[in-house]
Amino acid sequence: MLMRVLRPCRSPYRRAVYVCALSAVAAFLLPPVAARQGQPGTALVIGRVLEADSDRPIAGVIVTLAPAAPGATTNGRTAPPLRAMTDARGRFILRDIDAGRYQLTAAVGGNGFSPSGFLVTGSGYQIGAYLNGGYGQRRPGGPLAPLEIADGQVVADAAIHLWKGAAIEGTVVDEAGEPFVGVFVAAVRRSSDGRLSTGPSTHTDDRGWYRLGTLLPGEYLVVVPQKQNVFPAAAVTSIALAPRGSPGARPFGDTTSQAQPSNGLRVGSMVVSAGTSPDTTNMIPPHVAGDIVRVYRTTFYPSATVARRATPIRVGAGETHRGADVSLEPQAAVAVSGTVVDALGPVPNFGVHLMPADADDGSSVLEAATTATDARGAFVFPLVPAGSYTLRAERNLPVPGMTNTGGRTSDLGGSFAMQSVAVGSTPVTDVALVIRPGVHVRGRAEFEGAGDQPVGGRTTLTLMPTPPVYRSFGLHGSVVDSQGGVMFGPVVPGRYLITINTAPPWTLASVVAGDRDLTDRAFDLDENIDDLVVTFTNTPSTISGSVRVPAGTAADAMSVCLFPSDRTRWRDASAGTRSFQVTGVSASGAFSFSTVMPGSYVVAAVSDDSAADWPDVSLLTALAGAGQSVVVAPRQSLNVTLEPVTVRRAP
Amino acid sequence: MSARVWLIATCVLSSLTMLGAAPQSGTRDLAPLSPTGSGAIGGVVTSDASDRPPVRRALVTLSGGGASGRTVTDDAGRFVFDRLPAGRYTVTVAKAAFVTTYYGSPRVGRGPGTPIPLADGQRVTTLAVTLARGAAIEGALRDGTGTALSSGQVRAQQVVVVNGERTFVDVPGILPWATTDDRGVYRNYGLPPGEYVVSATGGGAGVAHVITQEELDDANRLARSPGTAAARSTSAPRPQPEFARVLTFHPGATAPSQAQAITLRAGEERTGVDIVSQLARVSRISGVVLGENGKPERAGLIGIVNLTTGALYLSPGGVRADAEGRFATTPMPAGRYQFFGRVRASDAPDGSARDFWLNTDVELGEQDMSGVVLQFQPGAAVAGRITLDGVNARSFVRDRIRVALTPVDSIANDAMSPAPVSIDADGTFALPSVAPGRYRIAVTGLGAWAAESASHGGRNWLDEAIEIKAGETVGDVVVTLTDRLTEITGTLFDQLGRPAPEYAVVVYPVDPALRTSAPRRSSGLVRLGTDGSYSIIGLPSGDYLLAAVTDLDPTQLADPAFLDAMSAAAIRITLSDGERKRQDIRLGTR
Repeated sequence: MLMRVLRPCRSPYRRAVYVCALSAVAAFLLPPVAARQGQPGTALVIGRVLEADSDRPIAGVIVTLAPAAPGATTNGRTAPPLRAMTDARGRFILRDIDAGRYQLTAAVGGNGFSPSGFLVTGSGYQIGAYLNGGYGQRRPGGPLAPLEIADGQVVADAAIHLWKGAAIEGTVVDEAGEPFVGVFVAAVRRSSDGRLSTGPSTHTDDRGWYRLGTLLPGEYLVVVPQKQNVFPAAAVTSIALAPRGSPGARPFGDTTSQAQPSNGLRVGSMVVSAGTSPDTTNMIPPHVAGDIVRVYRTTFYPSATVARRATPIRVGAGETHRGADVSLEPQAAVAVSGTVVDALGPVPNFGVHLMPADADDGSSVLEAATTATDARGAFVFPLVPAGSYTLRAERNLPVPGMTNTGGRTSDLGGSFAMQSVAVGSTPVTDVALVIRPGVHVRGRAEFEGAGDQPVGGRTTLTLMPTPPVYRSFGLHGSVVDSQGGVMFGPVVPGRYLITINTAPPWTLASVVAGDRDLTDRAFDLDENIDDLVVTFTNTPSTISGSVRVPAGTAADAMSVCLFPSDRTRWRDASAGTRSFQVTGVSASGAFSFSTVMPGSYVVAAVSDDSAADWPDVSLLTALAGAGQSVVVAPRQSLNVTLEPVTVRRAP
Repeated sequence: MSARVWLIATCVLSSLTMLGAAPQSGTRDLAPLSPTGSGAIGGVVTSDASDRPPVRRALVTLSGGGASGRTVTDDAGRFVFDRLPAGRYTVTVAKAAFVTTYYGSPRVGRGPGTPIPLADGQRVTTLAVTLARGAAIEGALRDGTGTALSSGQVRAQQVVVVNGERTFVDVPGILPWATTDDRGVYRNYGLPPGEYVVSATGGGAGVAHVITQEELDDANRLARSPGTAAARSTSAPRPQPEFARVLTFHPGATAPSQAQAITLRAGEERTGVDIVSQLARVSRISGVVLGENGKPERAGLIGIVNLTTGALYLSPGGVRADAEGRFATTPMPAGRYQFFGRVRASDAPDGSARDFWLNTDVELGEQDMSGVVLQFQPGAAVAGRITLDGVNARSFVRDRIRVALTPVDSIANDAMSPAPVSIDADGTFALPSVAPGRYRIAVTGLGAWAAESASHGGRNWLDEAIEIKAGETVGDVVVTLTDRLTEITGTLFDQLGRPAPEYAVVVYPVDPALRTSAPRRSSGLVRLGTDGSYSIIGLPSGDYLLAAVTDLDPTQLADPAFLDAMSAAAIRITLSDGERKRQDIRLGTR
């Protein structure tokens, strides 16, 4: 039980972090209150979990059987998933199963989470002796095949193969070769088309050594991120003077995490957080030699300060790449200071972020420093190494008590300023950041089909900044209100993606603004949108069919890929969206996509091995020529027969 | 006879005490940020390795005196704090993987340090600080079949004997747990020497049914002769007991008493400390949450304390009720649990919010338990007023004063303590809704004033915990404040009449009952300055004992037997209101 180790911690900062993490975990573990009702099902699954390479049994794996899609069981009951743990010989039994189409998944280890406050991603990434997988999987991370179960059927040997993850090991050292202890290290996955996405993270131990394990085979960068949290010293003093007293000084259930510098180094009038404990900060303390202050900046393996110049590491299943040693060089730093103003003058207590500007590769969201303006609207970053930066001031949420309808520009959510700044060997002063209002997205939801509409908070929409590498600037949520209205923001202009979560049986059909199709695709939001239309249907289109497998080939070695034929959408391709889907094929050659949004698609059946880079642009390009084009109309159930295609791609 | 107590202790400060002295309380230390004097304190930090190399980039914290600050050692291990006003300063040095050193403290990793008195313009720049490398414990977490368990949380705790009872405490100032990696391997480091137990939780993907041989035989028989009828007749629903990984101590014990302790020498790297994680039957508690009005209540923040282990099990918010008030816990091992919670309701006619409280004990066996009713109850109301018993009432500042009720002997302390309240212009204060329980009163933000008493029914609520019952009204608490602070000062001399800065003093009440119930009446360990002097300000009036010690484990200050033994050699001091006393101590005399 993870719970028990998360005792309340006396440090207010740490405690806040723990409580946040805890609530996420608690939600994850809470069982559904509804119990199985009525007559139990009559089918039975007996199976084993085996190591993919050796067929050796794996003990202690949690196997979960859940309907492949809502309503995929005969009686439509919402039964909780069935779970079992494999015994010493890798065996499991699942009983009382309703007829239907299921997914059988296997989970190993758990989700570690980092309490560092940086790169925290909910429950974290899997840490396990094997990669999580499931029935029908043919390669690490590959698609699962559905398990069709009839009434009274006994599935006698459902074999699940699991692969060992890859691992990267190394040390993190300073310019004298001494180890950095307790510093944060993260793996960044690089897809075959060069896009970066967050991966697992860890801390170095007392020898400066780290191991990033449970990696999907592929290519990775290793990064030691460094971010300075800068506080005006006067603000720190006022925090210190606030009544502390009894533990009750903290309100009950207070999870607000005001990142206070529980460890701090004073530089001029500012305090920079720094510490010896890895859970309070990821920042290595700066050091002073005479008048020169040197700091460490975000560094990629082996010693690059931008992702583009990092050396990628390719690892295969079960492989351990050793010696990925990252070396950090301190760099002379100067102060960058200025003022945030709006039409009414200086703006106090406004967040300012210092972002590296020279990274066109997605890593620019690794911010170098963050602070807030003081009572006079002034800000100082006291320790900035030479380089090109973007200063970004922004307010994600309106000042408490303010509505977004009037008042001072800088009090409104989404108000922002951006300014490029080149830093050399002398301090940069008097940077003026002029606040401008943000932009909003307004519109309505439409429901195609009869029945109870999930309005009034039961459908949630999220406006997500992209690319979502590392710390993302403000997610914005919205609900479909009781009149069917949708409203985001105002938000800071930028590139965004709208994602949607609604209640079954409703599914998303499209997201449109005027003549722009925003469904599952990132878009530049630089002016107000007032005509957003989000369409839902309760009769989603489907595509199903079969793959004509040549004699002597196993059908379940195939996968079927589905993606939009519009090439401009491929740069936003992301596994797990409705627009880009891949599924396994059953032993008889059958496949199905149960929820497809209307539009033009390519469907292609390929050997699962060649779909490993799904959904990279290079794979989509190869498949587009060979696959079958289909147009899916609203509420249509399309049936296709596919010939397997062979993709040949440049290595 | 001098009061000389020689101890070989292996214990640590409680985390609360630690935070008062360690760099972690930095926000406080940084308060006066503009040094203005002309003194200096500096020195060099070296490692305890055989060739004594300088320690680069160690974090040095200066506190006390008229200034405070923080710096980092250079490549030669040097540090200096300049422009200091006169005062008494302490120096603490920390670096990851090393044990924090409190300058002058005789024990590795333990404060308080020896204060350094600095005269106007004086420069003390030759401090030599040795930083000891911490020990490390490494091992693997596995299940009974030898399979590596990943993502488990492994905690190394020090073994402390309090009142003859073996208890385990976290090492303050370091990350208390390590996560096992994909190979099941963990490593805890930066540990001061001492005796440790290592325990693990998690390492599995959660809760599941574990199949039995009978089920296997049954299933295999069906597999040989499949058929709907056969399947239906044998796979009728039956109880599916669930299991989960539970807290397990090295080498594989679930009972704390069977934990195998490991003694670490300074800087030792101990490997092979493996743990075989145990599975235990888990079951759920379900029922309904009712508000004070008897209606289903879903807004309450409810948590669970494990009374069997004495630890928080689920933070507030971990138990959730649905619209009908129904709740079900995660599967939990058998044991005694306490549900606690608070809900704020603003149903009063004037729109004001009131807190309601929940406190229900449940004994869980090895079966699911349903029908548990969690009922919120009204709290008690506590009110009173402040009176000033001082000479200079003009120096009194009301704004920052907060009156708090501090729960005693409750594990859910943080969650169940009412928010501190401020004082109204007429000197009154009111805590409208306090959870039933035992409390002391604490008054903070007093500046140059101190709390003398908080009288209620002839008892002093500052010194003695008082029981508050549900729905009770306590309306007559009189909190008396004074600006006449007591002070005990003095110098400790050795047999030859030289100041003996290596000692510390402890002042504690003569009355044994007050030693445990009234922490404000104990000075704690006060280390002498480098000139052998000490100063203790603000103890309440009363009868005290003063003892000089070379070293002391703070847990011993809560040990009645130890204090009794020490009292035989202690000096008796009576403090009247605002009295300032000088008490020099000469070793070998009385």
